[in-house]
Amino acid sequence: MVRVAVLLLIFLLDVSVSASEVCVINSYSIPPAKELEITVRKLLLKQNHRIVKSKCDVKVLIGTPAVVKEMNRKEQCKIVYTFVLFPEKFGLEKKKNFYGVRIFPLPERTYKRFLKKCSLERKKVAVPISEDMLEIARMYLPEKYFVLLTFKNSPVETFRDLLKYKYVYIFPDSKLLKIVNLVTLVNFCKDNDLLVFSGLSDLSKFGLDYVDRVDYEKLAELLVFLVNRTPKERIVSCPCKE
Amino acid sequence: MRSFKSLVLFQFAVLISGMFLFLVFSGFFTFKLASEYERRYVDRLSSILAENVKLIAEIYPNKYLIEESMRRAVEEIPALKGMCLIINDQQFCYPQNLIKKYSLKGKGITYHDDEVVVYFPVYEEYASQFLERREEGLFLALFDRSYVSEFKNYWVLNGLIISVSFIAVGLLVIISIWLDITGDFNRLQRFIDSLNKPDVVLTKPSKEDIEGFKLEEFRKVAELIVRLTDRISELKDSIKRLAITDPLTGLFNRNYLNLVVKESYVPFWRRKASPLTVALLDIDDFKLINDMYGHSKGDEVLQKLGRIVKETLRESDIPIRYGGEEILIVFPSSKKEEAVKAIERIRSRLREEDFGIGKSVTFSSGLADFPSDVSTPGEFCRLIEIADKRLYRAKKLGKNRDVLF
Repeated sequence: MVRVAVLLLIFLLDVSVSASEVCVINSYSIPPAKELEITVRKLLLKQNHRIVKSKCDVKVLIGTPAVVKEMNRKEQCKIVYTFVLFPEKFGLEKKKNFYGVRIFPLPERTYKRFLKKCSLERKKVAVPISEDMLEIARMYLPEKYFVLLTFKNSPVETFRDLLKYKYVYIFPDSKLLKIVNLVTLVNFCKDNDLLVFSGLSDLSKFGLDYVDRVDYEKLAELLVFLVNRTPKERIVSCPCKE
Repeated sequence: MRSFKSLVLFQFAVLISGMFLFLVFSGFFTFKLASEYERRYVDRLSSILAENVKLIAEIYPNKYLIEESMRRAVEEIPALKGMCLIINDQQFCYPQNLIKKYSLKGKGITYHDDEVVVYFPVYEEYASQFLERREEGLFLALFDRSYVSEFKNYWVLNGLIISVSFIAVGLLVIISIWLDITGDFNRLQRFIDSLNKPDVVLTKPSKEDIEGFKLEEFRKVAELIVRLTDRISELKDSIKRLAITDPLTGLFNRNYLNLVVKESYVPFWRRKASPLTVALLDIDDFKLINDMYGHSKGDEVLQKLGRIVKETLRESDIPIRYGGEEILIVFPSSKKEEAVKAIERIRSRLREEDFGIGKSVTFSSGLADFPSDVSTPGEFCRLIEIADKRLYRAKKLGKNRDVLF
């Protein structure tokens, strides 16, 4: 009898703690963002959360525009976000009420998975990077593994230096990821037996040798976890399919 | 109550109005649709041109190469008059002064006197969808309005031609049906009118009359009218027959005597002044037969006598049941000496009949004629009176005989 009462008390406490009013705001119209939103909503409802449009305890934000908009607000409710390429660029890692999941894995992890998957030996990785992105790239690309090769207008400027390396990492650099630039770079690498890899899963269609694939189911679970719990680490790694 | 003609005219007016409204609305919506397609056409063509020029600018951002590519597009596409791409603070235009003429921002289509201007922002295109697209410039395409509108005009014209064709075909079909219905209605109306005349003699319509109807329903109505007309004629004949015929003997009754003989025949006989005989027959001891053998036996005797009289007389002779057991026979163009022969034949046949009463049934008769008994056939009633008196005398004299004088 006592056991039953204790279990009931624990259950009631758990329900009262976890059940909260959540707003889900998606500022991206791309298919993965839409699917993620649906999955998150389903998981939240499954865990007895109430999904509301205003006056919420927690906000789940999908996409940079939603996060930027939320940063300008005075409200201090808990924010859980994803689909923000560089949270550090906005100083989100320092904001107390912001918790996020990265949308691409840290380059170091991608590199390790790349080596393991392709059974390759460890060597320095060349990363063509535009001058505009150099500062942020340094935050993500440790010197231990990566060598940054900067260019001003086109990655073609880095081709001569690229030949000194075996592996090339594609960083989410807007200038580099212009279709013409990326295709030129990948073609050059193919022609010169350089292996190209990236953490952006949708680059696989351009013939890269390895890309990390985001596990959106786990990403949704992580977002719901962040709604329920408050971990020490404010930015959680992107979950990838093995 | 409205006539069929006015109804048809009203319906026709409504139909024409409806079709006119349909034409107006269809023209309006065709125009709207054509305008929308025109807008989409220039919009999509501009998008393709922008993609093309932007790609060249990304691969090799050379002013001369881009402007040469623009010039070729303008030459190859007749509706296109020029275009401009402003990207990363660089400006590529063909013709050169285009952007000065139109200073635009954002997205839209503007219509000028002879030009259509399509403009929209161009965005950076990334290999990954995770990167947020940024606006990097503006594209502007200039089209020849008359050339673009030609497409719209053709579209509207085609739409109108198709609509008018459909309406015309529909109208022809409806008019054809209306004509059939109207024709049948008029035929039916004439048919009914012919029956409505006061002096109409109901006659069965000919096969052509019935088959003249084009619609099955009207033919059925006409056939129904014909059947009803036939039935009415039959009923009329039947009523007429019942009115002038005695149902027991099958001879004419006193109605016939009063309405037909006296009204129609007597004036004719008077004009003609030919001999005319009236004979009045009365069954002997008829009351005794009724009392002894019942009224059914009496009826049987009367019935048989009536049959014998009808079978024995000429067609021109007129036998009438005058009273209970009295029969009046009019013999036109006959003197009583000739008429008595016919009466004797009747007597002879009646005598042969066996009524199961142990004896034969007889009758007595009195005869009177013109010119022996009256001075003119017009004294018909007088002839009947004389015949009646002579019948009485025949009874007095011992029955079963004829008294002529």
